[in-house]
Amino acid sequence: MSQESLVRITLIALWLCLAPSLAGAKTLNVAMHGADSVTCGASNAPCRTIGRAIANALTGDTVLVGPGYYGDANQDGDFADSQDEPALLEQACECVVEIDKRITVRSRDGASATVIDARGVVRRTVAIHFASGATFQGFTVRGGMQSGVLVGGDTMKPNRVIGNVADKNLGHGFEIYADDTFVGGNRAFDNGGSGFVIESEGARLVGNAASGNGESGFVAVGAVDARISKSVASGNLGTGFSVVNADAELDSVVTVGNGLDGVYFAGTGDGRVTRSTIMGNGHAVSSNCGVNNQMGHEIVAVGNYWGRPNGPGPDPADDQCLGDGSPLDLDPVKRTENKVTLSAVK
Amino acid sequence: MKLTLFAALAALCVSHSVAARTLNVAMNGEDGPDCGDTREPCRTITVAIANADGGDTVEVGPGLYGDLNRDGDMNDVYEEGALGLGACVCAVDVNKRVTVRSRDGADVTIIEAGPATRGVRINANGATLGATHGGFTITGATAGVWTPAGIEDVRVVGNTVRGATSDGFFTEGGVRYEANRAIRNGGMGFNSNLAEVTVQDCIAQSNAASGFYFSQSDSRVRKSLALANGSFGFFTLQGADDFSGIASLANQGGVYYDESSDPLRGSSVFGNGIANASNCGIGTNVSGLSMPGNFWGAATGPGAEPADAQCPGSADIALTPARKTEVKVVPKATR
Repeated sequence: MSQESLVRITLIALWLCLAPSLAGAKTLNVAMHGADSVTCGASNAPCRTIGRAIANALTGDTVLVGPGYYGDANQDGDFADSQDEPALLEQACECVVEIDKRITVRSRDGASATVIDARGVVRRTVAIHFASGATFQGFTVRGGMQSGVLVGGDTMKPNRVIGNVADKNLGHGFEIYADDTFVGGNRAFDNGGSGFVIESEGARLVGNAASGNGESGFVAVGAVDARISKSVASGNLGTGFSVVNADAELDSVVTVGNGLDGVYFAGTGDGRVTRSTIMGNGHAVSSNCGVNNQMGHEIVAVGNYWGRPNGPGPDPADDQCLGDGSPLDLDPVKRTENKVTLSAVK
Repeated sequence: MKLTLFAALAALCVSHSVAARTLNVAMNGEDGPDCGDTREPCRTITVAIANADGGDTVEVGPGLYGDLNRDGDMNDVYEEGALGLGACVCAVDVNKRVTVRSRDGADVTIIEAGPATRGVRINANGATLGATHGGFTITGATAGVWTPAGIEDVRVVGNTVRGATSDGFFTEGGVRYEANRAIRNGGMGFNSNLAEVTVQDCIAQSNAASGFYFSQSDSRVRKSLALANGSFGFFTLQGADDFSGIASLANQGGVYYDESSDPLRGSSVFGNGIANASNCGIGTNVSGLSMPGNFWGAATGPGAEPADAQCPGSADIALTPARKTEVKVVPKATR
């Protein structure tokens, strides 16, 4: 092969790699009045299912979903009808919608108006699975047997989960297994398990809220370098925040009115809770535990408000609960409430 | 003379502003006959209301109120039944002309009512529950927010009712609903009976019965969305109900006029009647109705899938000329 041919082949290969981005990212539309086909997605020919639009999308594209109800459209308990999302039961994700490429999937009108429902018969409602740099934004996800949203698989670039509501899943609201995932401005309400579960390295959670979940609000288990900030756990049946066998930093969080501890540290690893508000917890067991340290070493817990100006103590403040050799570094305590104001989720 | 008049007006203004107070409620509060100051908040909403006068505001911090340990009663320490549930049988009874709102919004301020208890009764003329970013989430109730007959000038703003066993919001009085959400309730999302009601920026989603139901009411509904409800998105019975700029999507049926005839205007109705294969966008038992100018899911107007059509058995309605493009209805977001 001549040198000229080699150069020509190399240039063609390069062009083939770059062609999608050079062509410009597209927006593929989905609507309840759409119709699926291998070419659907234009604004005047939207797809009917999110799954079809994702299949038609290329790297860098956006799938824009109109208001409506997606999943088991006729609610007959299967995903086999023409308007149903083709649930991927046989694939690794076992989910209603899988995002497996670097695309953005977002709703046009926000989470309150756009529902994806697994109806309690599919393991996960949505899975970002082996994607790098994908974004999932602005949906209510409901009815997942194990979770509402799973972010899993190896990834080269962080995935992002933004502005969603995980509501009444049988299991957890959000499960984060992929490293470096960003989780911002989401809500987890009334899920059977915990609101947010992190089991990865480098997760960043900002501006989220977990309320009324059957277990904990936020759980970091086996996680490394997890950071949770400006987030609220209120009225969960279990703990507000749990850090178990993990390294996790909680900063500017509010944990109020949870049934068990406000914050629970246990097992190996390390944790911090700083500049936060911790009060009104432990009603389910009359424990009054604001922070429960069972890690066997000191935990930094400075700058927190415990429900009264002079720090932890009996009701109406929250108290500290300590295992053997597990003190808290408390001082200085904050004399007034640390307030966290969340942005509205559409 | 002018100076005297000015002084009198100024004194009137000052005395008015002094009269209206804000009473605080927080999870680190303690109930008492004088609680409510920022440094001494009340622990329960009920006691703050008892301490308030007409015109006052009760502002509630984030957390859980009501049945705190979820044992099904309201009589444990710090629970809202401190003064007895009374005839109301509700977690919170707003029985004065006060505003009761949350400081940080509905997503983080929960009233857990318990399985045998209503959520909130609003039983005073001119009372307000919530604010645009200052509402409550009411969960676990038999009915979420209830306004009895004879109560007028009530505002209900920025609240969410989830998982009530019957209706999310029920009124027989005069209510203005703004930016509320009724989600996954066992009855209607919003149920108005013999009432004069305004609905703006509200969403009824995944309720077992109709999203918005009006019976013999005089209602005005704007910029509101009914999604995936188990009966009609909007249903009006023998009423004078004015629906404009609404969206009814993925319900068992879109809109139904039962002995009612006010027109539907500037709205989107599509994706309904899938579960029962009826494709039912709009239906009525009244002859001769005319409702042009709405979007039915196709540029060509009502018809077969993917558009919605008239419901099976409906009296004929003149729906053309129909709107060719979707009316986008995005209710105001709250936190």
